[in-house]
Amino acid sequence: MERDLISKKELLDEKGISYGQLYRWKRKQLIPEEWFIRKSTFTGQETFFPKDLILARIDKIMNMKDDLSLDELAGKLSPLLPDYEMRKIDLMKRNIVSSVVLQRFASGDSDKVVYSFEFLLYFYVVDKLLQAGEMSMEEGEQLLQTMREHFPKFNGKPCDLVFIRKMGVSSFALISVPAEFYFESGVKLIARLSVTECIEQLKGKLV
Amino acid sequence: MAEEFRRDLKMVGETTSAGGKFRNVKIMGESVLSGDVDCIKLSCTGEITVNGGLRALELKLTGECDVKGIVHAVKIGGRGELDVLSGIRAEDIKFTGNVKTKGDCEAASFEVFGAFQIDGLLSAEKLEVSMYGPCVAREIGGGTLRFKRSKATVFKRLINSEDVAALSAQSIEGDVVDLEHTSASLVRGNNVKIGSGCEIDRVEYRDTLDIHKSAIVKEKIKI
Repeated sequence: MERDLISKKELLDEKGISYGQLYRWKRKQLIPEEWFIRKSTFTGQETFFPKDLILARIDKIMNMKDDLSLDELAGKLSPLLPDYEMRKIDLMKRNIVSSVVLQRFASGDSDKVVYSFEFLLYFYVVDKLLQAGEMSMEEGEQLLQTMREHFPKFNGKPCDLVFIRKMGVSSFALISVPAEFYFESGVKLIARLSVTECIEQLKGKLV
Repeated sequence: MAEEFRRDLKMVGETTSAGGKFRNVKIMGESVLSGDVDCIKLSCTGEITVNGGLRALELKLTGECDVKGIVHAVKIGGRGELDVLSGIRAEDIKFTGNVKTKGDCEAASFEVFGAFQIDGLLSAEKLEVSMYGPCVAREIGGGTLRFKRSKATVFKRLINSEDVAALSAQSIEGDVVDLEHTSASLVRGNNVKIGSGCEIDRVEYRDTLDIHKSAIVKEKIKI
């Protein structure tokens, strides 16, 4: 898929930043390596960036750098989760998350909204369970809520998602691994998903 | 979690170690570390081979250092030869001798007296090189870039005339670029100074351009 690219020169002109700043941010890993796309042009090799991603990122850096040091900023921008972001429209086009999920849970967002990796992950997990036919739409909402609320607390540590149902009442839990747990009788363990594995799978799909 | 306990490691002679986490590592002689090394300070006199990554606050080398993985350091200093397979990322590099990597070399300040061969990108906010041997990089980028041929090469050329102290790169980009004895296909910057012995295909500059009379520039463009 061709995406909109911006050359390094255009980027510097548009944002009014210097080479020194750009390379410093790259070194501090504020700008992920994968965004530096080398292409040959008629003047030789030239570096390009995915336009929407880099422009949003540079705005973010410029806005935040007044209050935070670069190192703090690096921690904020690239937690242990990989640094992929994607627009909703691309998400649909590449069929990473089925359109049913997006329609149901993200119909309020415009096509141009850029989702962080965490959000992509939430959608992905919901989609996965829905596709497996183990979960209903209403439960999906419940799951999304749970992930949104509690997943950031793990701070990148590996965790599992547990989905149980008893007498038709469902509930979700996020637990750190390795962990053992046992339920009373009558509880049915419907799914146990390794979120770490989901991250890996999603990463594989994004690149 | 509390900070784990780190021990010192001191080895003299021809030694091997598995690597690991240390406080201060001091090596004299010839040593092979077969895994990743994570330490506060590493000082080495002699030859050291790390078959893994190397992470240190401070790296002080006299002699040869060979690293298979990536080097992450705050400060790298010393003299000799530094050969890293995967790449170097540091704050402050001040080195006399040869720096070589198959990956990228990124630093805040890169000060080298000698030569370097970098297969990827060399980037630094402040880059100052006094060239004494062949300096090669695919791409150079940063804030202030200064390349000078060392005065001592006059004597070196009397003995060995083939091995020239010159820079060659595909592209050089910086806010301030000051070059000497350089061949490059593209130089791009705000304030560019092309010194003697340069051969540049294309120069793009924003504010000032200064070309020495002995330099060859095929194309100059003000942007």
